[in-house]
Amino acid sequence: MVNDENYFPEDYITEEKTSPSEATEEKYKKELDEQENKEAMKKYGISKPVRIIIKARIIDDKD
Amino acid sequence: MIKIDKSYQERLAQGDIIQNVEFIEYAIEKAGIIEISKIVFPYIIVLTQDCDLEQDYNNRQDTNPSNQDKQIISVIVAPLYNVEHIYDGKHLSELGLQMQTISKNPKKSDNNNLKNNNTPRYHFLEFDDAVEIVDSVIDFKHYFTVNANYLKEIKKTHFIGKVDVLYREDISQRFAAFLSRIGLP
Repeated sequence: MVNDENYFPEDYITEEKTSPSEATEEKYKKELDEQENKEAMKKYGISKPVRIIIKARIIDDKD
Repeated sequence: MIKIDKSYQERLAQGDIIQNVEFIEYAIEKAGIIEISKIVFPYIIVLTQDCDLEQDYNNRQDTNPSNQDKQIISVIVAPLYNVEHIYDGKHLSELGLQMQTISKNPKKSDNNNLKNNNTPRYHFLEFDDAVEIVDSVIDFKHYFTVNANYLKEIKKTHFIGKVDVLYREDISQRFAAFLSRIGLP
């Protein structure tokens, strides 16, 4: 078992969002940071559930 | 207008509204690749009975319990959706789902039933401006469970407030009624 948390290369873990478009995603991220702005929430409708898919490659100690 | 108590308490409580809670749809491993799909719900409300949550907390805090009988594994929660999105049936559009629409006209019966909590499936919540959530609807049909430890941890940083006792009793009763409804042909 590898314990060094810096061991994994950058492409080890990919996070793939199935949200419709990158523009929506960017808007969602931006508005997520500003959730205290109630008007922004109403306007952009960021208060919607999103699906996130994470993929990770298993690294064998022998690799 | 629903009353919200914003004071934080460490233990989970019925009526807690918590932000950005994850629901794991699946976790699989195929050909050396682990794939995890999760849905992040912007807001959820805790529906598990408060006495169960209190007993769970007390048992876990006890340094020398005689047993762990009162501990619970998961907590029942339900999502809150923006009422404006509910009207258009677009509240799950990011998941590729189109839901039934409800009239925005307050004179229409479906709108009236929603706002007066006469629709068994939904519970409408009108928040004060001091609360950072728009008017929302709990969808009882979309209840799910989350790991109790996970929810307790995430509550530390994602707690919004707790529905006041009287209002949460109403929500609890309506949820129980929805679950125990009898479908007739």
